[in-house]
Amino acid sequence: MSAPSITSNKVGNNFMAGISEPVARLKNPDRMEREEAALLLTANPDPEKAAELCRLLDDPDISVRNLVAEVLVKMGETAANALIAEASSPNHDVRKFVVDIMALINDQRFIPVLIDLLKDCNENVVGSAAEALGHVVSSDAVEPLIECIKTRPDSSPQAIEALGKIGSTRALQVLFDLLESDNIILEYAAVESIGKIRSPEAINKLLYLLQVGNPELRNVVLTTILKLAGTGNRDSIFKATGGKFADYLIEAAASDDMDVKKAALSEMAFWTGEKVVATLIRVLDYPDQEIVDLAQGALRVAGNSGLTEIINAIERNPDPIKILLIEISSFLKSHELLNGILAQADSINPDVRIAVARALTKFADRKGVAVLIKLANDEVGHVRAEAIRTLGIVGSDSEIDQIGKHLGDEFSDVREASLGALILISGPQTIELFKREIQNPDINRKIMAVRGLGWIGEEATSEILLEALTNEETEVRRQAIIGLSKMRCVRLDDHLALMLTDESPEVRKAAINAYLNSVGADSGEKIKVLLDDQDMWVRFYAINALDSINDRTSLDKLIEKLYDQPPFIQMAIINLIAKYADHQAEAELAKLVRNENKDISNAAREALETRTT
Amino acid sequence: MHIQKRMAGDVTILSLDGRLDLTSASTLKEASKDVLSNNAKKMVLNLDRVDFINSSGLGALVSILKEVRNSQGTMKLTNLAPYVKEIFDITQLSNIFDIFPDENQALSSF
Repeated sequence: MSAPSITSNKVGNNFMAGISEPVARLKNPDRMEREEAALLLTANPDPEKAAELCRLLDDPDISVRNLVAEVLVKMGETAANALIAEASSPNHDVRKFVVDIMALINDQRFIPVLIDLLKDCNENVVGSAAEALGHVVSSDAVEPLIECIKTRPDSSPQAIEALGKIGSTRALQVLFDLLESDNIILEYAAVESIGKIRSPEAINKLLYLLQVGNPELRNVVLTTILKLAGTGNRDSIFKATGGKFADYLIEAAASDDMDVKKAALSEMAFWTGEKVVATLIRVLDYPDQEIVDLAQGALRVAGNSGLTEIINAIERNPDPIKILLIEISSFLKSHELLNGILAQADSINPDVRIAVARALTKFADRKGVAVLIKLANDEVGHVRAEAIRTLGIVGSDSEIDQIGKHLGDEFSDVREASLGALILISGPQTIELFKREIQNPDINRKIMAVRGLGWIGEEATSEILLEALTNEETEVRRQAIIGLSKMRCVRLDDHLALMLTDESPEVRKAAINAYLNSVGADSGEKIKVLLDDQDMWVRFYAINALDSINDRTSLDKLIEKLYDQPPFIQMAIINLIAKYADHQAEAELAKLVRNENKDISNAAREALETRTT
Repeated sequence: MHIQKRMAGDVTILSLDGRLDLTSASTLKEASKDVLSNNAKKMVLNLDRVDFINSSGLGALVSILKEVRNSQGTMKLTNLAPYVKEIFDITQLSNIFDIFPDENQALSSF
C-alpha cells in the first residue's frame, strides 16, 4: 500500500477534524487515491469508520457523497448503527441519503427508524422511507404505511407499492378503497400491489375489476392478472373464472398495448380451446416478429385444443401463414392434421410443398410416405431434395429404389439428399444398390456409391470397398480407402502397401492417412519411402505423417531430402528435424541460415533458436 | 461402447465412448430407455469420445430422438467430431437434432 498522499491542507483542516486518514482520502482530488481508499474501507468494515463516513454525507461534492454511500452500502450491517444515528440529522438531504442506503443494506434494525421517518417533516424523506420499507419487507410496517397513505398524499404511491411488496392481506381493504379514488396514479399503484399480494381475495377483486372496473384500469388489471397466472396462480384463476379467463386473454391479445399483448400471448400456451387457438392464428400475420414468435410458441403447445381451427386456417390463409401453420402442425403430431397438411402437397407454391415435406418428418405413415414419394419427383429441385431427406428419416426398404434413382439427379442438392437418405435407411438392399451403382458409367454415381458404403460401415460393405480399391477410377479408389479406414477395416492393411504406390498421388495421400490411422507409430518405414515420391504433395503428406508419429529413424532420409525441394517442403522438413536433438540436424540448419531464400533462412534460424531455448 | 451417466440439475448427460455401430446401438438405446423410464425429460448425449459412427449408429440416435419426443422430452447432442458432423450434414440430421459445441451451451439451452 502506498503512503497516504493526502494532507490536511488539501482537504480543509476544520472540516476534516476528527476524520481518520482512509476516510479523508475519499475527498482526495486524485480519483485513483479515492478508489483505493474506498476499497480499503470496504475490505475492513469498521463501525467507527462508518460513523466518520456518515459525516461526509453532507459533503458539497456530489461525487464524494456518492462514493461514501457506496462504501457504506458495501460495509453492510457494520454501518447499521452509524446510519441509525445519522437518520436524525438536522439536514433533510442527509436523512434521505441515509434512508436510501438503508434500503440497499436491508437490515431489520432499520425498520423502527424507517417507520418513524414516515412522519418526517420532509416529503422526500417520507417517500424514500416508504420505498425502503418495501425493500426490508416487515409486517410491522403495514399499519404505519396505511397511515402514511392517509396522511401523506404525496408519498402515497411509494407507500402503496411498499404494501404490495410486503404482501400482507391486512393491506387489501385500503388498496381496494384506493380503487375508488379519483386519482388514476394511485389506482394503478393499488392494482399492481393487489396483484403482488396474491391471496384468493386479491385475485377475485382483480377478476371483478375486469367485469365492472374502471375502463382506464383495464390494461393494468389484465397485465397484473397475467403476471399472477405466470407466477403459480393459474389454477386459482381458472377456478375463480371457470375458464372464462380465456376470454380475457383473447381480449388482451388484441390489445394495442404491446406489453399486454405479449403477456397474453405468452400465457395463452397454458390455456386451451378453439377460441384461444383461433386468436393465436390471427396474430401470425402481425407486423412484429416478437409477437409472431410468441404466437407460434403458444400454438405449438395449445394447438392440440383447436385442431379444426388449424386445419381450416391452413386451407384458407395466404401462403406465408400456411407455411407457419404447417410447421407448427409438425410439433402437434396429431394425425387429424395430416390430411390438412397432405392437401397442401399440391400447392402451386414450392415453398409450401417444401414445408409439407419437412412437416412429414413427424408423420411416418403410409399416406405421408406416398406424398413424400410424389414430392421426391417434384419439378422443383429443392422440393425433391427436401422430400428425399424426409424419406431418409421416415422411409424404409420399400423406398430405396425411389430414392436411388435420384443419385443421378441433375441437381447436386438432390443427389446429396439421396445419398444421405440411403445411408440412413441402409440395410442389405441399400448395400446391393450401391454395389450396382459402382458399375454405373456415371463417375459421380460411382463415387457416391463408394461414399455411401463407407458411411454404412457394416461388415457387408467392406468386401465391396476392398474390391473398389482396384477400380479404374482414381476417386473411387480414394473414397474406398477413406471408407475402409474410417471403419478401421483390418483387411485394408493387406492392401495399403500397394495403395501407397498407387499411380495417383491423391490415392497415395489417402493411403498415407489410412496407413497412419491403422499402423500408427510403426508406419515410419513405409511412409519414409514416400519422401522420394515424384509428387511434391505426396512428399509433403509423408513429412507431416512422420511428424505426427515422431519417427526419429527418418532423420537421415529427411536431411538427404532437405535440398532440391520446393520451399514449402524444405520448411516442413526444417520444422520437423528441428524437433530432433541431433548434431547433424543442427549443422544442416546452421547451413540453411545462410540460404538465399529469406523464408528458409528465417525458418532455420528460428528452429535453431527454439532448440537453444 | 462405454456409456457414462451423470446428472446436471434435472438434465441427464450420457457420455459415449467408443464406436457407435450396430453392436453398440442397442446398448445406447437401452441406456436412453433407462433414462426415460425414470421420468427424466431432459437428456444430453455427449459424442466427444465417439471415434466411429455408421448408419446403424445414426439410426439409433434417430430412434432415441423419437422415443424422447414421444415422452414429451428434449434431447440435445454435443461435441460432435468433424467427421461425425460430416455425416450429420450429409444426412441432414443436423436439421433434426439440436446440436451444440459443448455441454455448457447445451445445458443452458434447456
